[in-house]
Amino acid sequence: MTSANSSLVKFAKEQRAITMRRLPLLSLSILMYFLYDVFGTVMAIQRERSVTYDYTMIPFPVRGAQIVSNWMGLRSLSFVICSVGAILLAIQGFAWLYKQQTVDFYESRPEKRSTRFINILVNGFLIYAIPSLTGVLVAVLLAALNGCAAGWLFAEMLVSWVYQTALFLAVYAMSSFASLLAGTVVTAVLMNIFVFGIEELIRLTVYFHRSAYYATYDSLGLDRWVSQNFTAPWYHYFAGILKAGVWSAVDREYGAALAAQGEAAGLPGCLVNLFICAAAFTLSWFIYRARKAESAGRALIWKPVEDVVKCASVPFFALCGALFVYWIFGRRGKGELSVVILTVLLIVFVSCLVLETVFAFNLRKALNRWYHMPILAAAALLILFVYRTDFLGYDRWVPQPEQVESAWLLNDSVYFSGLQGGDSRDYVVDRMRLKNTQDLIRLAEIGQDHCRKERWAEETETYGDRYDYSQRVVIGWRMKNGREVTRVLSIPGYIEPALMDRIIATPEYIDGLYAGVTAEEILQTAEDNDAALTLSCDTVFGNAELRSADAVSEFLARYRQDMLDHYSYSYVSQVPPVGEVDINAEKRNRMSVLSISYPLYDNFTRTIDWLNDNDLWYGGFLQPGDISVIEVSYDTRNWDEEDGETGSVTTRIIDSEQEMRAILDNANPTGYYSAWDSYSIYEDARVDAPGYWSVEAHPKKARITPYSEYGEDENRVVYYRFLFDRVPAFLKDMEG
Amino acid sequence: MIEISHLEKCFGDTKAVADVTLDIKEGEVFGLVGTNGAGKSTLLRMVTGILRPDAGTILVDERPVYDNPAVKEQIFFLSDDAYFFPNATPVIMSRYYEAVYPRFDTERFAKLTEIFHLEGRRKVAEFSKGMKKQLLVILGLCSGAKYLLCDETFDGLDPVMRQSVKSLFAQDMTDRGLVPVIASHNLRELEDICDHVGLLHQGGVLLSEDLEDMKLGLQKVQVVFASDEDREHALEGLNVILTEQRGKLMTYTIRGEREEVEAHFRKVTPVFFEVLKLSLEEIFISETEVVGYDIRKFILG
Repeated sequence: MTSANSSLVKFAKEQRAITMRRLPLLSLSILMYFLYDVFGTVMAIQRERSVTYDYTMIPFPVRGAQIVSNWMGLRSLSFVICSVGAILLAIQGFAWLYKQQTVDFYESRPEKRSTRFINILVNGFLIYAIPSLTGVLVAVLLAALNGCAAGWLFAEMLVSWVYQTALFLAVYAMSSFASLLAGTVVTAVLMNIFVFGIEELIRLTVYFHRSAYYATYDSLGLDRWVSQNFTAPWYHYFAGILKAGVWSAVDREYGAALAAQGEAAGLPGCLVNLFICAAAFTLSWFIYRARKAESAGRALIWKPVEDVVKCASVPFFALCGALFVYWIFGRRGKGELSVVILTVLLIVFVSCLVLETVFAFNLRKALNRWYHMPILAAAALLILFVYRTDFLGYDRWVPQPEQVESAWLLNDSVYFSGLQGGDSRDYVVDRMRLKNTQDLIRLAEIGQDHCRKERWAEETETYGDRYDYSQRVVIGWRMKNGREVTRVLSIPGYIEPALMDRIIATPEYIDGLYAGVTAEEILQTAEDNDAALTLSCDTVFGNAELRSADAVSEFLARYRQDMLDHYSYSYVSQVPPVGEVDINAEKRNRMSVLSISYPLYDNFTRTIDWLNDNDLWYGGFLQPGDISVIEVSYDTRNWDEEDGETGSVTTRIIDSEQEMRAILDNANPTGYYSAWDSYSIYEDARVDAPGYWSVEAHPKKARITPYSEYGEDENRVVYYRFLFDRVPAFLKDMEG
Repeated sequence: MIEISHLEKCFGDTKAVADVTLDIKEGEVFGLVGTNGAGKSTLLRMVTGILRPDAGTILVDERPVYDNPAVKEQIFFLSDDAYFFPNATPVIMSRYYEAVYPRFDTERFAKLTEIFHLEGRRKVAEFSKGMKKQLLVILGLCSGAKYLLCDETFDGLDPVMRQSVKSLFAQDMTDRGLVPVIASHNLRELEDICDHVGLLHQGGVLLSEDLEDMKLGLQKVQVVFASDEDREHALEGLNVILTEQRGKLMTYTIRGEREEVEAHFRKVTPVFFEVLKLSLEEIFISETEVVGYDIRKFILG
């Protein structure tokens, strides 16, 4: 027998010996994977086979493959089994280190410590890998036997197993690291919670503090920043899955095929997890080597680890408590600050007592290292002070012009989806490159200042004579040093239109928005998804649509030119859109893969002419002659607990052409969304008004064309909103 | 041979083993005596390679022991609180040790378990404390290890079993050069088995000597002198360590060879004279009192 063979036989014997002592976990692993992979697959296929009618009209074998892909592919939920299994295996694998009896037993054996360490780790991996891979192969076989065989499906299942194995290894390694720092099973569990959760705790605390105390914090990035928990393998796992474009993809087959074909997009997350695994195992090895046998039974093996756990967690526990008080009281609550401080002090005190008790397993030692309490309380209060007072000037920060490479400006009321799997924010962040830095800085100063004032007004409930309905936008600064800084701006109604025009009436802004989406991109998305393109135009007079790829190109060319020529803040903040063009791409099963809305303004003559030429245009704003009646109401109803409902609704039907003209001249229709529509210009912004106006125009039926495929829209109503201080005199008496 | 030199081990602020220097030679049974907390178990756990010393060296057959499997094959540690796998039977444990110790003697294990009436298929968890100790001793003897480190192993064994185990030790010492190292807090347990005894107290070695040497160098005599002059004359020049008096009967513990002591007492004509056999206890009392310790307080209770 060669030495390699002999080593292999020895290794196999050692693995068998260790496995014999881990039979409960091995059994659990086999059971879980049998239930999920084998039993679950059979159930899923049988359920799909028993479906007698499917609206998508997809035949069973294909649906069967899709359902198996759902269950066993990249969207598989078995990552939960593999994560829990990894933690259990890590804690159980090193549980012998927690009792002197077992430490004596194992450490006295004639075996290298390194060999024992490696054998335990390898054994844990095998307990996961063999049942899970067997489960996948059996599921593949079952799918094939049921006629659901598809190359992409099998490849996807194997790719999914590889991703999950990388996740298992990362979780297993981190859990081993945490378990090796502990001296008992209880503290091993607590250390696991700490190691996996501390970054998220800090991120959430920082995020919620920024949101709570910084008026200009870009909370739209919540899911991005908070979920970027780099020390948690699940983040990289999901990042991998998401990048593969299949986790939430509407087309599972296409997405799965991409991933299965080795689409590199999903691999980085997988590789990061392997890197985490290597780093955590290396650290674990050093800890294992340095760890003394006498550590068994201690809470944590080294005092400095206790200090790290305490310092990293206690201030954040306290800050979370402070945040709860803030949410309950609000900053304007009387005595809120003193309650917050008391809460911080109390949580620091209690957390220190609890942690010291856990560290010593002795309630009498709760006051050990009592001097940490004032230090940690001071740290928590200092952090709180920094946030509450905006000590670092977060809300006041604007860049120096020479530091800025470019910027983007996202009006969050602009939304379109589908391109490259991203949303409008992704698109704007990627495409928009505004260069007029001086104007942007001026806008940021005004917007941030207004944001702070709004926050103050909200907290103190002090408003002027009208609510200033501002526009919430996010500005992103691309700095020359590579950083990207974002701030929320609140663009007030009184903003200087010329300043806004210099920013948004520019090719850089327009091409960074929906107008910049090229026909090629839209056509490519539709082609990639095997989806049909529809261009539809909607105005108050009706709706028409065209299914033509050429029409998309022609429309986009004219629309972009109109935007470049006519789009300006000065105009669109005062004049509402006259209609809307929508481009949609739908798959055969009616799933939408792309949707972009283009607001139409009445000065977009090139576009309107083209729509007209293609029988897509039915008319612009309503004129008195188009309307049968206008129903005007003034609603002063109010409800409170003491008096119940008070006030009333006064309604007047207007059918005189002269009065209708007066109303239309002093009100704007509200049917179509406009990004820069300034609500401050409307009567609804009046603070001291006892009620609100409602204006409904009923167009003459004769002029209404079929609205949709569902039939004629006979009851179509066009809503209007009075401009500020311009309610016609003949209606004033309705205010009572 | 196990050579321990200036060994130290601390647990936090507590010094468990302080500057211990000992040699455990082949061909002898080494007894390690000390109270609870004297450092016996810590010393054995360091010799076994479980604990890493803070200072000093341990050489087993001239090789360091810590994380050295080749050396550890020569050592079997019989812990006071032995671990057996959950649901394990003696057979399962023997299979495990067979995989770990290359010279494990399975046949002998089967034979000895039968002699000791330990059922091979019965769960160890159902065994009494004494039966577990017997099983551990059998596993240790069958492991083929040269050094058997027994931590309070004789605690819980009935006299018959104790005698049987001692016989097995003696047989293995003859057959394959076994070196038993027996730690106990009870001197009486070691008296009839140890050749060499080390006394540990508060982490340090109070003394380490061959029992025979100690016995040969100490004499206990009972004597009734005819007169005080005879007494003074007889004791002149003798190194008397302890003196007890009950009426006229005097009991002396004297350092020196038996012939030399007897010659001194023959110089006078005592009314009664007898040389008594010294127990291990008495030897220890005598030796430790000389260095300022009252061993009765910490060994004999």
